[in-house]
Amino acid sequence: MTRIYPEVLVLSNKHDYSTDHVSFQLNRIGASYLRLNRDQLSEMQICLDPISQKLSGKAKDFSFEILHEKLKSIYFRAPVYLRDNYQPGLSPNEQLSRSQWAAFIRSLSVFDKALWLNYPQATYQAEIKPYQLHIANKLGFDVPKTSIANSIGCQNIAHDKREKLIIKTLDPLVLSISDKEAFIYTNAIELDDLSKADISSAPIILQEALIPKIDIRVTVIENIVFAVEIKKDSDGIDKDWRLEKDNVSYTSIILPSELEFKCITLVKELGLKFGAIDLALHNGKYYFLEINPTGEWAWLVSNTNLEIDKAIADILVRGNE
Amino acid sequence: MHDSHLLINKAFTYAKRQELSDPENCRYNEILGFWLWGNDKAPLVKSNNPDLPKPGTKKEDIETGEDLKGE
Repeated sequence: MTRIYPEVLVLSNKHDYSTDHVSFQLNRIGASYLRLNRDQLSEMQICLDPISQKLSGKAKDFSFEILHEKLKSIYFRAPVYLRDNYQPGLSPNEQLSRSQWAAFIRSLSVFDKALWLNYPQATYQAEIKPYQLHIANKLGFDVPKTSIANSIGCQNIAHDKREKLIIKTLDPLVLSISDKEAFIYTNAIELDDLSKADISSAPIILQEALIPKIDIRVTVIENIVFAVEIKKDSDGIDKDWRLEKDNVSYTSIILPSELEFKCITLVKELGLKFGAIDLALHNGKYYFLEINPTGEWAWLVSNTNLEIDKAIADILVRGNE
Repeated sequence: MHDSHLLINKAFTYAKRQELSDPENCRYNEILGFWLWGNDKAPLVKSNNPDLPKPGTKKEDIETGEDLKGE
């Protein structure tokens, strides 16, 4: 039986193919690593000693021992907290299993000397959209005028009733609507229509509409920046481009150096090693829209050949040197 | 009774997702930490075969990625 003493721990789930890219690169460069999938933990025998900071386990074909003095980094592809408690039909055992394995994963924060990409506590705060805007503005980014409210009237974002505003959720969620599911993308709405709508039961983000715009996705891994312009038929996309994702093109671009530096600084300021930043180029100015500390990136490796997977593997192997 | 919230009226609706299943003709290698496919056991994510699932695309944002934080 193979015994592994990894220097890099990858926490993911079995069907997260983005993680495959990282494991592949770690394997390619001969790194000492172990991928543990959250959905397979119940099939293993696992034991965490929080005092001596040691995690050991045994699977069908291998066993492992993770020692704090040897562990360099953790790639954390896991939710900071579960948002799927609404799921019907879970047995008491499944509910217990989900909740306690999630807590177990969080317990790995005992490995506090390792480099985390990203550290769950930092992710938790960095996911708060108003906080992101606050920090981005503080660092000198241009940000759209924004309010978070459950009523119309206190904002100073739009004045003309035909003028459009952006509406979006404070936190991403999947809704269960009878026998279907629903996801709420970013939408543009005219002030007149907004003023007639009901938003009293939940606050929303109201934002200045940057139209026309070109979307830019900036993936930052510590000091490395990958920027991609997203267009449809050579033009920017005024609505949420994810609704057009089958018809868009991605082009690698170089950002102005000052903006690049701001992106790196923002990720650092939020205590992250990785961040996927959404910018919009509007009337010649780059606006910060949001940052996603758990943002997807593998679709860019496939579509643009950007070596994001290599950059992630490299930082994991380096650790906190 | 209140009308639905504006965001619910704007929600994009789709058929409920099924549990993710293993990709066809592929096997997950627990030591390597990635999926292999075919008789050659090539890494799935490096495949250009259009018949295979295309891993790690933005298409999966609802299924596994940033919109659900890997849930």
